[in-house]
Amino acid sequence: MKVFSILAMREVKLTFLSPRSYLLLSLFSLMSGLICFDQLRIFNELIFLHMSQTMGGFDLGTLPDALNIRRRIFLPLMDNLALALAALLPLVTMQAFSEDTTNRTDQLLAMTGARPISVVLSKFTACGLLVSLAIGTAFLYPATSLGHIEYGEEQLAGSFIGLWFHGLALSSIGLAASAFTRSQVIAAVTTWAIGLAIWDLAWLASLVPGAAHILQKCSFQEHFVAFPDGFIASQSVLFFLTFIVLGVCLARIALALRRLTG
Amino acid sequence: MNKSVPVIQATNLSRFFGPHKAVTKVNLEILPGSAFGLMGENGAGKTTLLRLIAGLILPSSGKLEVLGLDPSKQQTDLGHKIGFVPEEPALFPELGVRSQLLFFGGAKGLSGQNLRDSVDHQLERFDLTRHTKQPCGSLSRGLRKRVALALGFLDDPELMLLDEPTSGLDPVHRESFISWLLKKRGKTSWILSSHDLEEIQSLTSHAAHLEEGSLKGIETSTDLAHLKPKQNQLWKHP
Repeated sequence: MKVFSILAMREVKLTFLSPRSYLLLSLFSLMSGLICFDQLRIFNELIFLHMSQTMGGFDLGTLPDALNIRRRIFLPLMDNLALALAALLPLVTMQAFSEDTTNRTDQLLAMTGARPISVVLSKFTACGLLVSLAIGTAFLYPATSLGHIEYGEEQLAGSFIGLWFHGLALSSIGLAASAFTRSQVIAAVTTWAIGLAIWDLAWLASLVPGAAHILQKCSFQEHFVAFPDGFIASQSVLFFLTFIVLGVCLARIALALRRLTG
Repeated sequence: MNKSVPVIQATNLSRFFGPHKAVTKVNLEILPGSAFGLMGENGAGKTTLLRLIAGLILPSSGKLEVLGLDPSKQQTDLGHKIGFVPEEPALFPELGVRSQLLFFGGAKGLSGQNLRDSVDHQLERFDLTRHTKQPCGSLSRGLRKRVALALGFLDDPELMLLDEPTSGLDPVHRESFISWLLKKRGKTSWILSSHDLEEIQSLTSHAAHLEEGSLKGIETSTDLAHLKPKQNQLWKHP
């Protein structure tokens, strides 16, 4: 545990020394603010239209489904931010292992006697911390703009918890991609490709018609739906956790394979 | 040091990189306390053999035991018992010299005052006290080599693997390192790879000659004098 904390400390320092991390943090917060602002603007316009049609008065019970706050604000916000995360996160994860390979410090780590799984988990911890910080800062604008109306707090919190799980799963995939290649570009492109492909696997249904239902169940997007409802579905959490464990295991296997390939 | 267990026990040890045979059927036994040399031309398989012993790569075939452990399965345990100084020093470029040693020692399981004392001792031993805060990425090759040596010897390992340990060192630090290493003779085992015949002679008792991955023979270092090349001639084992 002590060795792990030493390794993790170094990874965290390294992550926050990299300008890419700050690029991710600032761009993601900016996008969160802009997307949330835009969704709120559209929602306000729709409310205004509805008010003008109902001669200025309405109560919450008579609102049409088109003005559902979950469908109009939280789902699009979460969808767009998830895609933004899928686009930005590989810029950070791509250097996780390839940097050590280039500097041959992977050998130095191996010579400390540190377990390879500790090395993988320390890198995952650093990425997880960055994702948490990105989600935390991105949460600020929507929370302050929606907080004062005292409506939809659970849905907003649920959406960002879903995004957090999504970010952790993407980090894990990114680490695995980085562990399998020495090239940062290949690692980033692979993570983008996998992240976007898994985002909505329904497109594969036309190629494998019999597996449409399974493919849909394996899509990230499918498991996002529950979070903006304001509750955390154990099935969706388990789905993301499976991806996290899978990514970590694949990265561990990649380290073992390096000893075979030299 | 367990005197009954050989430091190295290799049987038909081979390592291939695709069609290239880097190490072929090496049989070798090295006893505890030995100072053993590896000689050979570039590409003879010296570094690959050292990397196999360190557990950094796995053998393609054959059996290898290092300090009674199997490097392919027990690399974690082995990491606490051996030190490795590669020819090209591998260091974390963002860390300062002292931080590098503290990190490495901590990851090796040293802690507290014991770790700080070991680090200070190594900084002094390898004349690095003036560079403690300098990031390793900005050091000259010679200084990086000294940091790599300090890392390798940090926790007083049972077995040291030294790949061209003095390459890049200036004459003063080279001599200082050689005389210091000689004082450790018998207490620590080491396997040293070098192109420098004098270095092999002074730092090892026996040396193996590798050629195209195969072990061509083992000789006592005193018997190597006849191998000294004539001026402008490449050294070649008979």
